Amino acid sequence: MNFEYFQRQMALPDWGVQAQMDLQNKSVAIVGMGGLGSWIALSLGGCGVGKINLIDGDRISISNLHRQPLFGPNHVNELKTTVALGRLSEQFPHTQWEAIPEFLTSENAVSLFNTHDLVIDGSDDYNVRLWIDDACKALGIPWIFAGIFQSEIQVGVFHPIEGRSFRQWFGEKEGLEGGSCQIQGVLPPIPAMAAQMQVAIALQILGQGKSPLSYPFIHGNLQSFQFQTLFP
Amino acid sequence: MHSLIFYGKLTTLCPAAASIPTQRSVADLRTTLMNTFPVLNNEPFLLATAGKMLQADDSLIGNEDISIMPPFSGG
Repeated sequence: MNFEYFQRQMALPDWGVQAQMDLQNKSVAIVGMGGLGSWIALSLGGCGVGKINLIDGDRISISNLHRQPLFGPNHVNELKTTVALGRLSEQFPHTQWEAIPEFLTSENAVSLFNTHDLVIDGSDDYNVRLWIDDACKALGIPWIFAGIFQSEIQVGVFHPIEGRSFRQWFGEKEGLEGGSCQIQGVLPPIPAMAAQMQVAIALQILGQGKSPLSYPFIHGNLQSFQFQTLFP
Repeated sequence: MHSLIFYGKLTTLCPAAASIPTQRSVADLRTTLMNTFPVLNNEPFLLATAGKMLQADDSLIGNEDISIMPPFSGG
């Protein structure tokens, strides 16, 4: 491990060498490499997570560029995971990166997650969240949700096998649409903020062993800057 | 009465400010909401009050403000 690289975070009294080494032994799957996933990957790579898989079958469009910091105009029409892998591998060589240019489905979710300690949701689809929830239940691992609606964010931690399930909280209504950034619009700092909250939680779970069940469901409005936490 | 606070996509489907008569239980609350706002039959959402999520078997004291929060889809 390059101790100098991580010196500033290891200097934290509640982080230190042990948390850093624990983080280096952890593996994370990020679902979606858009406005959330790009920031999640950049921050987790910078912090020193040992292995990160990037899962997304989408290609880069011009309308992605204003909020997805891994991509530039020269990348339009390329696979997001391929471009992200090149950029992230160069910037954060201490992390083992893998690009998986596939969309998550109910059929492939378990196989895509089965070597990971944690899944982080960077998708924009209700059904995908249900499939993540089901796969994480089957594998006994937690996952971190985030969602965006205009200037509002939600962040929550689920650990379905321990009784905290997205499907249980929100129900069985698969097939719903209507709240995507494409339809509702979004300013770049909104997904960036939600993603950084997901990363902060991930670091605590992976590096400090904090219980996934200890987190509230968080709702924030970045117009009024009012936040609320909801506990089950 | 319970004042209702809708979030996310539900703000485009339900009135900005609404209230319903006092309910005795969360099960009653959910039924009344579905009947008053039929669009909720097709939407996932959780119910909360004063920083606590409401479970189906919870009882209500009366006159709580109720948050009706769907999962946000965007990302």
